[in-house]
Amino acid sequence: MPFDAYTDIPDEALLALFANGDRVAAKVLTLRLTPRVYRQAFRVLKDQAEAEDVVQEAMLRLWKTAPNWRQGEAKVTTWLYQVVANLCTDRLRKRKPNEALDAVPEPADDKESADAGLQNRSRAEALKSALGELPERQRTAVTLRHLEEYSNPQIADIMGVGVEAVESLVARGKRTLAGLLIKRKEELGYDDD
Amino acid sequence: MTTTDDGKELKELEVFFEAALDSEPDPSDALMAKIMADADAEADSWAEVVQPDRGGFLRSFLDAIGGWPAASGIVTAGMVGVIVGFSPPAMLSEFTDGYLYGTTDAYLVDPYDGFGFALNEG
Repeated sequence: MPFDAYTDIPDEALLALFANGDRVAAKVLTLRLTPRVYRQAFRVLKDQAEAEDVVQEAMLRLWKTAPNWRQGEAKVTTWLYQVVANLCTDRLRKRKPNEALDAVPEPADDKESADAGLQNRSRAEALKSALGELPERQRTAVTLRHLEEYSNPQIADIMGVGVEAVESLVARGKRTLAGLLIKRKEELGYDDD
Repeated sequence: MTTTDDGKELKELEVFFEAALDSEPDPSDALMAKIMADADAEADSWAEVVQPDRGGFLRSFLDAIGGWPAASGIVTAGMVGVIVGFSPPAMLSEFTDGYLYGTTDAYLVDPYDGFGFALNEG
């Protein structure tokens, strides 16, 4: 089967193909799932090397569980999200107590000019700060939707609520975020775009 | 706040989400390669389990005769033969002793000699 033919196949079906020896299916799953869970891990751990370790371990667990995967019982995205979340929690517990997360340096961004990078960084920090002011469920829903780019049904699975509840949480969260960030409009210069 | 204002502000919010996504690193090519290599290694380990070593001459012999059930039948039949040879049933002993030790005479009788055969066939 050509590589392009795999793009419309659901994650669970790709995992079943891999369990039957189709290695292209594993490649497609890797390209599809890794960026998202890497962002999830990096956002929690704030360390590229640790985030890579966690993601590699989570994906290895996915490969190992493939032959025993029960179709229809769980979504791959939900399962993987939970595994990464648990592995990140374990990593945080093992860190030294005085190692504050904010003390870990942000990675250097060499893709943009220094000015644009600085502006992006300040916007990202402002968003992070505003997200911290949201109620937990709104923060989780907005983060999953807009920073980890899950679909609403996937978020509903992860959070254990209905799709309508997810839509409501995201909408309310975004309204609050907009209200918080609008106050810093000039400082952050997002009229420039 | 009107709906139009809501829409404008939410649109402006996208700039912040994009900035946050841009400021985060992408997974490295090395990580992607390691994950794919793990998948290959895992698939290889299944292949080894699915196709075990065929086991040489003994395995070939067993496959040829129909596996262990057939082999056990052959062994059982052989053992019965050995037991009968060493300790035959009484009825069988009387019969075979007659032939082996001359206590019974055996004759070859031809019920159709040359003429009888011709007479019978016409």
